[in-house]
Amino acid sequence: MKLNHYHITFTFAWVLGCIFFLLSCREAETGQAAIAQQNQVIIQQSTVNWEAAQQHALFNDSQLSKQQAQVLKIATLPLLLPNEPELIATGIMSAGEDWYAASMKHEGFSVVVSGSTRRVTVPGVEVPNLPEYRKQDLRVTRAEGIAELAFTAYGAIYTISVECEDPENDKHCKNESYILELANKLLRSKVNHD
Amino acid sequence: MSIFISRIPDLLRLCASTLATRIAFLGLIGCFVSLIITGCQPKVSFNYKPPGELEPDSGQGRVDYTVYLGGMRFPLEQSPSYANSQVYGVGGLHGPAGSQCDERNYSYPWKDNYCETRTWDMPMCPSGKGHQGQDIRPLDCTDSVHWVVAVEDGTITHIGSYSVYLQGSSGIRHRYLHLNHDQLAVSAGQQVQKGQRIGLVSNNMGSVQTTIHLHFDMYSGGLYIPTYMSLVEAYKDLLDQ
Repeated sequence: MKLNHYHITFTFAWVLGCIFFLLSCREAETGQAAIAQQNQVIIQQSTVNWEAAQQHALFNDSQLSKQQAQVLKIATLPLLLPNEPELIATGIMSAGEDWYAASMKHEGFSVVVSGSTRRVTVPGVEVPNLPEYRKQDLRVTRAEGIAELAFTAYGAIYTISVECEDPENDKHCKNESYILELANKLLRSKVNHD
Repeated sequence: MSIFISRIPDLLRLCASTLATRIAFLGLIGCFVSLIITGCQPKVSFNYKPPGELEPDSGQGRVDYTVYLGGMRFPLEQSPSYANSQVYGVGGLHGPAGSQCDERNYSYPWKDNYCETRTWDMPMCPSGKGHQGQDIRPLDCTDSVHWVVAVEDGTITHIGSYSVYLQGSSGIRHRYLHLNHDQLAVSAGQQVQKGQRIGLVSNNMGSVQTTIHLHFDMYSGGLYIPTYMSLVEAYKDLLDQ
């Protein structure tokens, strides 16, 4: 067959049509610049310093209901709870072997105190240090209106969060004094360790 | 154009003239028919900006490609979902003028907003301050319709005015914010399985309203860890299902 410019033009149009078709059907990848790195994520388990924890002032365990105490018994880290009977009475406790959480409510706001001996680390990824449990070190932050502070004590990591129905105006969230007061009122329960 | 139109009869004659041109002509027609059948729309699939690349002028992101929780279930039950900024997106406080429901907010690519400018402390961010998690819009701008689900097995440890905390079996605590708290499917102390429904995406921030979105963050060792690439991988898994 003798080729002329019509053949060439037409073949070119056909190829273009097919390319366009293929482009329309393929999965567009534009903008996908990132490739996930399956970095080695390590779950680090810290060791509890019970000797030091035993020096911590004790919580009055009679404030805990039988059910609350039963749940908290599972945890194998020092259980720090706020010395606030009214809050404790509303507490829903959850625990695993290496963590616990006490979820409490008050009119207009809620509090959760939690502790854990587990943390996620990645070799080469620098993680800032948390303050030790000493009054002067505690630093309050905000997370979407939720006041929060975290610290390390006796080998575990503890977090307190205070969340308000009116985060912009309620002093329990707006000011630092309430959460700091709670942190400084933490006492150690003996339900899981003498 | 007029030259091209005047050549159409010639082209049509050419199409029928030889076997090769007939095949080419049919191929071309086939391509266009296929395009019509497939909606004549380029199929845009999931794509995303790299971690740390925030909306312009919204702060300095953290470049971290680590998938901190592999095998995680994507927190929204259905796709598509759109990870992007609420504050710097269309209709946001510092974003272009428009509605939060603007279609630009409901399109790819995803954009990281971990470490986006905030006034509060965030030691993991280059500036020391910033947003702790990732904002995600559901498939459309409808309130209290789209479910969020447990990203892994775990225990619901706390339900606040606009937050739900899930302590995962991995040791990571996941936080879901802005759900409709009148229609939660879980309660504090409850054990949940990966994929189990938790609540509906809403604009709840206590007495304040935010945009319709899920704020999702991951917390371990007293720090909010980068979420973006874990979400990207989880979303890819959801799309592959």
